[in-house]
Amino acid sequence: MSVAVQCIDCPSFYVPCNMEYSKKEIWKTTVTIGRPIEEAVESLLELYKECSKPNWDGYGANPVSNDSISEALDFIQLLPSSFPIPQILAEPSGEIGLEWYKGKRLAFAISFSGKNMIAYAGIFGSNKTHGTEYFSDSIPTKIIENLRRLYP
Amino acid sequence: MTALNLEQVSPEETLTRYILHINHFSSLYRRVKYVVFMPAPNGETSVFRISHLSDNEIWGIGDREVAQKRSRPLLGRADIAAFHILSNKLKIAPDNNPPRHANIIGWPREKSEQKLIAMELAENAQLHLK
Repeated sequence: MSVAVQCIDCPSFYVPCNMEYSKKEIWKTTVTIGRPIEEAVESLLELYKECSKPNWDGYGANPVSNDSISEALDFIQLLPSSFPIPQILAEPSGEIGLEWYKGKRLAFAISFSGKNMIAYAGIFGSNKTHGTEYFSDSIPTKIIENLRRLYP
Repeated sequence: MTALNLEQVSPEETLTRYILHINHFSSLYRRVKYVVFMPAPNGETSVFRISHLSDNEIWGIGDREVAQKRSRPLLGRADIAAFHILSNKLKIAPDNNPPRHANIIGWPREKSEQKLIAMELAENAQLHLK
């Protein structure tokens, strides 16, 4: 089901404000986007609807927070077009996860807690990495470097 | 049926994590996503010990003990050898409540480290769809 609609007066994507988002007022309301990002926005909204109640996974998960959704969308908007749009996931902690999966033992994942921190982990063949980076107005260099290990 | 050691899970045993959420696997790649194994807010990942059980018996446990108790459809399961869990410095605590149930415990506090281990577990798990 789609809950996002096309803006009448501009080639941008408008997210209706009939859902309760507190911080950042629904990603500054309008976003100029292409089709893959449009799908990512829809996925985020779907995920919010499915996972905003406690125990959404049947195993006692925390509800997905508005702030983690907001940060994930900010990140997707900032993602250079040379990288594919990731799979969008909800984690049991209530964080939003983004996953790039290229094949066996080639994967990178990040998550947003809504507190301006990105937790990341990657498997690149026999090499592995993990860590935490501050996230505000730009994608941290460390995240870009790790994405380039998957998509040179 | 082989009797289970109720105190300890051996590395050779097979465990399964039942999947209730469509977001937790990829049909296209026939793979489990890492979030399947991420610990719940209580720090545990609930699994069942399925060695020496038939496929029907394994699905029966999932239906009876997991899906029906949560009023959710059972979508699939992620089977994994206990060895992979233990080799990532996690522990498996069998409580046999319900029968064959255990919890993966001992997760590191750091979120990124949890994620890396969950990704390793997902790499080594086999997806079975209902």
